[in-house]
Amino acid sequence: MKLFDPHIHMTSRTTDDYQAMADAGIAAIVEPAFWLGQPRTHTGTFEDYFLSLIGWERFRASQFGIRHFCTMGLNPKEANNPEIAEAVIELVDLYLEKDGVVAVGEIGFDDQTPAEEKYFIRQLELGKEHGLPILIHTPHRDKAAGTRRTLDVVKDVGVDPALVLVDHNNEETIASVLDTGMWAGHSIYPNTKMDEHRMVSIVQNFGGERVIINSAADWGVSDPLKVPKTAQAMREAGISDDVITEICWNNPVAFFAQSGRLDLEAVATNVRVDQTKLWFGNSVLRGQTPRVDD
Amino acid sequence: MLDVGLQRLQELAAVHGVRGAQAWLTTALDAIDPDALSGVRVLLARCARKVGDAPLPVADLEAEGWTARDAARASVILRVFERAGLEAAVTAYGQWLRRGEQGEQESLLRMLPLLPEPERLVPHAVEACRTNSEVVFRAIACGNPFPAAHFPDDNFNQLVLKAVFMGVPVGEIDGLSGRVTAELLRMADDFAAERTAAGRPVPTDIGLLHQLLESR
Repeated sequence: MKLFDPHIHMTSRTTDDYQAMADAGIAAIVEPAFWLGQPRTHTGTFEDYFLSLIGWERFRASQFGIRHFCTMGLNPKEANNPEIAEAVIELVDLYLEKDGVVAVGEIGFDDQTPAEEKYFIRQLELGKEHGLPILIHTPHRDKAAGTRRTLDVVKDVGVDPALVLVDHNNEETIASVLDTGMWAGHSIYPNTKMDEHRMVSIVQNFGGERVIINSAADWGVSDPLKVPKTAQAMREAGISDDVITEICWNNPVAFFAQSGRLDLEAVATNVRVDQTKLWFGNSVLRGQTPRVDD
Repeated sequence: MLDVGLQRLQELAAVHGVRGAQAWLTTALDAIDPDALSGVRVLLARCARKVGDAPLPVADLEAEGWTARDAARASVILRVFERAGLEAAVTAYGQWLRRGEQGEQESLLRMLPLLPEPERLVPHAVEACRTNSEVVFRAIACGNPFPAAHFPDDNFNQLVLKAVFMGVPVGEIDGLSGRVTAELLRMADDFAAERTAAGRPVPTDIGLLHQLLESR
């Protein structure tokens, strides 16, 4: 079974992670632009980050047989920094045009400030202008109220709900998201957010339609194998392979294919790994024998 | 209550600083040039080695958690406000806070109640609360009278909720009892409901917030 992790921050992960993910069946990923654990102090560091998402990181993934897509956006935390926000939005407008970029994101609320709302709306508009789906981060603090406010903003801006994936849901927020016609993402974490067994219960209650799971693995304690592990937990709980495939492959593929930049035929085939390739003269190998697929 | 000026801070840094701290700081403070403020960034960094991080007795400042280098950095910033004027000083403070490393950010946050024109500094203090570093968060949230005195309700509520989230005891938030509102309790109760729905323990500090409101 091919698996899709539609939210994972690979710039903070190792080649061991890539290998383990590929071995566990993960064939495609989406890496949303987010923050780096501490605030950036210059606009230029955003540009280099965006370039790495569509460049070096995509190449690294390909070296392990994984298709790498990404989303571009000004994250809500750093939307609060007036010194950089406007200039970063200009960069986002540019980078949304690039190959491999399949959505605007992750955007939304963190502290739920006026600045966050301003740039959230602005980037929803950018999504409309570029004809791209939207990946929305929901706040960890004051989550239920923040999610309701998020749904209201999306409605007010007039974005087609089918083009919106609302992430980091839990037992309390999923119903309100699915009711709007939007897609509901769930980040499976070792401790916080959501775990495998709670996710099984959610699927038993809500089914698989427009339900998506991801690892949201990043630079913190997190697990890049949470999609395969949750698929296994669903299987053990008696959930059918059809529903598991719907959640772990068909749904994210269908959602991001709305960008027009994720080829349904191509994504269904295996990536041909050729580790003799270089990226600006750099290899991911350190003296190992390159793997070259037929 | 934390209320001291430049000279007293300079004395505290000298008394509790490492050998040579007094002479170094005196020279450094004299040399601060309002037309070359970029040099102050180096001073702020150098305070760590030239003054050190010996703790200050709580009685000296009537505030907890201060170190000698915090006092030295506060004296540097007060001198910048004296010489460079309000606009330039506020702008520079914001940049140094944003670009400082963890120890510098701690010092810059701890000194907030001592700086002029607190309203102008609120946006910088609010921004600092977005940190992932517990050490930095505690410097603004714990034992610091600035948030309760100057933060708007929304930002103060986020600070309290973040403390609950991070496991930082809300009892250490200075002036909390005067700022507990129905909206803050609503947010805390929503969080408790979310944790209950997830089958996870509810932080006991949420009960403390209720007690604080009831006892008013």
